[in-house]
Amino acid sequence: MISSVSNCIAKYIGTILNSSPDEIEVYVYGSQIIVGAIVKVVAILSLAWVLNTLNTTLILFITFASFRCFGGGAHLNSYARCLIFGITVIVGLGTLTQIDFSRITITLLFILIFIAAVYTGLKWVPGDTEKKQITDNKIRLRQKQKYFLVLIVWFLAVIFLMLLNLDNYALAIVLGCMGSILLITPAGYQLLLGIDKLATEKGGEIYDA
Amino acid sequence: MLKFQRMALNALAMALVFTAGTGVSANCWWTAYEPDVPKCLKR
Repeated sequence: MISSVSNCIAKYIGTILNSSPDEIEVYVYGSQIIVGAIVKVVAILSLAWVLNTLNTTLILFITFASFRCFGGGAHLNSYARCLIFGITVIVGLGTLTQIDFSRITITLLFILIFIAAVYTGLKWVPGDTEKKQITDNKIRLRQKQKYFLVLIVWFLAVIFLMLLNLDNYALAIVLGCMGSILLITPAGYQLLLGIDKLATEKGGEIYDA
Repeated sequence: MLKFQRMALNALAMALVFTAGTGVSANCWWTAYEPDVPKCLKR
Protein backbone atom coordinates (compact mmCIF):
# COMPACT_ATOMS: atom_id res chain seq x y z
CA MET A 1 0.00 0.00 0.00
CA ILE A 2 2.81 2.41 0.91
CA SER A 3 4.50 1.66 -2.44
CA SER A 4 1.27 2.21 -4.39
CA VAL A 5 0.52 5.51 -2.67
CA SER A 6 4.14 6.66 -3.17
CA ASN A 7 4.08 5.67 -6.84
CA CYS A 8 0.81 7.58 -7.37
CA ILE A 9 2.20 10.72 -5.69
CA ALA A 10 5.48 10.55 -7.62
CA LYS A 11 3.80 9.91 -10.99
CA TYR A 12 1.35 12.76 -10.45
CA ILE A 13 4.15 15.23 -9.56
CA GLY A 14 6.32 13.90 -12.40
CA THR A 15 3.57 14.30 -15.01
CA ILE A 16 2.69 17.87 -14.03
CA LEU A 17 6.36 18.97 -13.70
CA ASN A 18 7.62 16.98 -16.74
CA SER A 19 10.24 15.25 -14.59
CA SER A 20 12.73 12.67 -15.89
CA PRO A 21 12.41 8.95 -14.91
CA ASP A 22 15.36 9.37 -12.51
CA GLU A 23 13.64 12.29 -10.78
CA ILE A 24 10.41 10.27 -10.49
CA GLU A 25 12.39 7.43 -8.89
CA VAL A 26 13.71 9.90 -6.30
CA TYR A 27 10.17 11.19 -5.66
CA VAL A 28 8.99 7.59 -5.10
CA TYR A 29 11.81 6.97 -2.61
CA GLY A 30 11.15 10.25 -0.76
CA SER A 31 7.39 9.55 -0.66
CA GLN A 32 7.97 6.04 0.69
CA ILE A 33 9.96 7.48 3.59
CA ILE A 34 7.48 10.29 4.36
CA VAL A 35 4.24 8.30 3.92
CA GLY A 36 5.70 5.37 5.89
CA ALA A 37 6.78 7.66 8.72
CA ILE A 38 3.41 9.47 8.86
CA VAL A 39 1.46 6.19 8.99
CA LYS A 40 3.72 4.92 11.77
CA VAL A 41 3.54 8.09 13.87
CA VAL A 42 -0.26 8.27 13.54
CA ALA A 43 -0.63 4.56 14.45
CA ILE A 44 1.66 4.80 17.49
CA LEU A 45 0.17 8.03 18.84
CA SER A 46 -3.43 6.91 18.24
CA LEU A 47 -2.88 3.66 20.11
CA ALA A 48 -1.07 5.49 22.92
CA TRP A 49 -3.97 7.94 23.14
CA VAL A 50 -6.47 5.06 23.37
CA LEU A 51 -4.35 3.46 26.13
CA ASN A 52 -4.10 6.83 27.92
CA THR A 53 -0.30 6.86 27.74
CA LEU A 54 0.12 9.57 25.11
CA ASN A 55 2.48 11.87 27.08
CA THR A 56 4.99 9.25 28.14
CA THR A 57 4.82 7.40 24.80
CA LEU A 58 5.51 10.66 22.93
CA ILE A 59 8.58 11.39 25.08
CA LEU A 60 9.78 7.80 24.75
CA PHE A 61 9.26 7.96 20.97
CA ILE A 62 11.26 11.22 20.61
CA THR A 63 14.11 9.71 22.66
CA PHE A 64 14.05 6.50 20.62
CA ALA A 65 14.08 8.48 17.35
CA SER A 66 16.96 10.73 18.46
CA PHE A 67 19.26 7.84 19.31
CA ARG A 68 18.20 5.88 16.22
CA CYS A 69 18.81 8.84 13.91
CA PHE A 70 22.53 9.04 14.69
CA GLY A 71 23.15 5.55 16.09
CA GLY A 72 21.49 3.62 13.27
CA GLY A 73 20.84 -0.06 13.89
CA ALA A 74 19.06 -3.11 12.57
CA HIS A 75 16.19 -2.95 10.08
CA LEU A 76 13.42 -5.29 9.02
CA ASN A 77 12.77 -6.48 5.45
CA SER A 78 9.26 -5.15 4.94
CA TYR A 79 7.24 -2.15 5.95
CA ALA A 80 4.44 -4.25 7.46
CA ARG A 81 6.88 -5.95 9.84
CA CYS A 82 8.46 -2.61 10.70
CA LEU A 83 5.06 -1.10 11.47
CA ILE A 84 3.96 -3.98 13.72
CA PHE A 85 7.36 -4.20 15.46
CA GLY A 86 7.59 -0.41 15.95
CA ILE A 87 4.07 -0.13 17.38
CA THR A 88 4.64 -3.10 19.71
CA VAL A 89 7.96 -1.81 21.06
CA ILE A 90 7.10 1.89 21.42
CA VAL A 91 3.54 1.48 22.73
CA GLY A 92 4.57 -1.49 24.87
CA LEU A 93 7.39 0.43 26.55
CA GLY A 94 5.10 3.50 26.80
CA THR A 95 2.57 1.41 28.69
CA LEU A 96 5.32 0.10 30.97
CA THR A 97 6.06 3.66 32.12
CA GLN A 98 2.64 3.77 33.80
CA ILE A 99 3.84 1.30 36.42
CA ASP A 100 5.00 3.09 39.56
CA PHE A 101 8.56 1.86 39.99
CA SER A 102 10.50 2.99 43.04
CA ARG A 103 13.06 5.78 42.71
CA ILE A 104 15.88 3.31 43.38
CA THR A 105 14.74 0.98 40.58
CA ILE A 106 14.59 3.86 38.07
CA THR A 107 18.02 5.15 39.19
CA LEU A 108 19.59 1.70 38.87
CA LEU A 109 18.03 1.22 35.44
CA PHE A 110 19.28 4.68 34.43
CA ILE A 111 22.87 3.89 35.46
CA LEU A 112 22.74 0.50 33.76
CA ILE A 113 21.36 1.92 30.50
CA PHE A 114 23.86 4.78 30.59
CA ILE A 115 26.80 2.35 30.85
CA ALA A 116 25.28 0.19 28.08
CA ALA A 117 24.74 3.27 25.89
CA VAL A 118 28.36 4.44 26.33
CA TYR A 119 29.67 0.95 25.53
CA THR A 120 27.36 0.66 22.51
CA GLY A 121 28.44 4.10 21.31
CA LEU A 122 32.12 3.25 21.52
CA LYS A 123 31.84 -0.22 20.02
CA TRP A 124 28.96 -0.38 17.52
CA VAL A 125 27.76 3.13 16.54
CA PRO A 126 26.93 3.76 13.71
CA GLY A 127 25.05 0.51 13.17
CA ASP A 128 24.86 0.14 9.39
CA THR A 129 22.81 -2.21 7.25
CA GLU A 130 23.16 -4.09 3.96
CA LYS A 131 21.34 -1.32 2.11
CA LYS A 132 23.30 1.48 3.76
CA GLN A 133 26.89 0.74 4.70
CA ILE A 134 29.01 3.47 6.26
CA THR A 135 32.61 2.68 5.37
CA ASP A 136 34.16 6.17 5.54
CA ASN A 137 35.93 6.51 8.91
CA LYS A 138 35.38 10.27 9.02
CA ILE A 139 31.61 9.81 8.66
CA ARG A 140 31.63 7.02 11.25
CA LEU A 141 33.44 9.28 13.70
CA ARG A 142 31.02 12.15 13.03
CA GLN A 143 28.06 9.83 13.68
CA LYS A 144 29.67 8.73 16.95
CA GLN A 145 30.11 12.36 18.00
CA LYS A 146 26.44 13.15 17.24
CA TYR A 147 25.37 10.02 19.14
CA PHE A 148 27.37 11.06 22.21
CA LEU A 149 25.93 14.58 22.02
CA VAL A 150 22.44 13.05 22.15
CA LEU A 151 23.60 10.87 25.05
CA ILE A 152 24.78 13.92 27.05
CA VAL A 153 21.45 15.71 26.48
CA TRP A 154 19.62 12.50 27.46
CA PHE A 155 21.71 12.14 30.63
CA LEU A 156 20.97 15.73 31.73
CA ALA A 157 17.27 15.35 30.84
CA VAL A 158 16.91 12.23 33.04
CA ILE A 159 18.54 13.99 36.01
CA PHE A 160 16.41 17.11 35.44
CA LEU A 161 13.19 15.07 35.32
CA MET A 162 14.12 13.12 38.45
CA LEU A 163 14.87 16.35 40.31
CA LEU A 164 11.38 17.54 39.35
CA ASN A 165 9.96 14.23 40.66
CA LEU A 166 8.62 13.37 37.20
CA ASP A 167 9.64 9.74 37.53
CA ASN A 168 7.28 8.41 34.84
CA TYR A 169 8.79 10.76 32.27
CA ALA A 170 12.31 9.94 33.43
CA LEU A 171 11.49 6.25 33.02
CA ALA A 172 10.06 6.98 29.55
CA ILE A 173 13.30 8.50 28.25
CA VAL A 174 15.38 5.78 29.91
CA LEU A 175 13.28 3.09 28.18
CA GLY A 176 13.38 5.02 24.88
CA CYS A 177 17.19 4.95 25.00
CA MET A 178 17.15 1.27 25.97
CA GLY A 179 14.93 0.31 23.02
CA SER A 180 17.08 2.23 20.59
CA ILE A 181 20.50 0.98 21.74
CA LEU A 182 19.24 -2.61 21.77
CA LEU A 183 18.76 -2.37 17.99
CA ILE A 184 22.37 -1.16 17.52
CA THR A 185 23.89 -4.14 19.35
CA PRO A 186 24.54 -7.53 17.67
CA ALA A 187 21.71 -8.92 19.85
CA GLY A 188 19.32 -6.44 18.20
CA TYR A 189 20.47 -7.49 14.72
CA GLN A 190 19.95 -11.14 15.70
CA LEU A 191 16.50 -10.34 17.09
CA LEU A 192 15.31 -8.60 13.92
CA LEU A 193 16.88 -11.30 11.75
CA GLY A 194 14.94 -13.87 13.80
CA ILE A 195 11.70 -11.90 13.37
CA ASP A 196 12.32 -11.66 9.62
CA LYS A 197 13.01 -15.41 9.35
CA LEU A 198 9.95 -16.30 11.44
CA ALA A 199 7.71 -13.94 9.48
CA THR A 200 8.97 -15.32 6.16
CA GLU A 201 8.40 -18.91 7.32
CA LYS A 202 4.90 -18.18 8.61
CA GLY A 203 3.78 -15.61 6.10
CA GLY A 204 5.55 -16.67 2.92
CA GLU A 205 7.18 -14.11 0.68
CA ILE A 206 8.00 -10.55 1.71
CA TYR A 207 5.38 -8.06 0.60
CA ASP A 208 4.78 -4.40 1.24
CA ALA A 209 2.06 -3.15 3.60
CA MET B 1 -4.85 28.46 -10.11
CA LEU B 2 -2.61 26.37 -12.38
CA LYS B 3 0.37 28.53 -11.44
CA PHE B 4 -0.36 27.96 -7.75
CA GLN B 5 -0.69 24.20 -8.32
CA ARG B 6 2.68 24.12 -10.09
CA MET B 7 4.30 26.09 -7.27
CA ALA B 8 2.83 23.76 -4.65
CA LEU B 9 3.98 20.67 -6.58
CA ASN B 10 7.45 22.17 -7.02
CA ALA B 11 7.65 22.70 -3.25
CA LEU B 12 6.44 19.14 -2.67
CA ALA B 13 8.97 17.77 -5.16
CA MET B 14 11.76 19.68 -3.41
CA ALA B 15 10.64 18.26 -0.04
CA LEU B 16 10.66 14.74 -1.50
CA VAL B 17 14.14 15.21 -2.99
CA PHE B 18 15.35 16.54 0.38
CA THR B 19 13.81 13.56 2.21
CA ALA B 20 15.36 11.16 -0.30
CA GLY B 21 18.71 12.86 0.35
CA THR B 22 18.36 12.30 4.09
CA GLY B 23 17.40 8.69 3.36
CA VAL B 24 20.76 8.00 1.73
CA SER B 25 22.78 10.02 4.25
CA ALA B 26 24.62 8.44 7.19
CA ASN B 27 21.75 9.38 9.50
CA CYS B 28 19.01 6.84 9.92
CA TRP B 29 15.26 7.42 9.74
CA TRP B 30 13.88 6.12 13.01
CA THR B 31 11.68 3.52 11.38
CA ALA B 32 12.76 -0.12 11.34
CA TYR B 33 12.41 -0.40 7.55
CA GLU B 34 14.53 1.03 4.76
CA PRO B 35 13.03 1.30 1.28
CA ASP B 36 15.32 0.29 -1.61
CA VAL B 37 17.57 3.20 -2.56
CA PRO B 38 17.07 4.20 -6.23
CA LYS B 39 20.06 3.56 -8.54
CA CYS B 40 20.41 7.23 -9.44
CA LEU B 41 20.97 8.09 -5.75
CA LYS B 42 23.61 5.37 -5.31
CA ARG B 43 25.87 7.04 -7.89
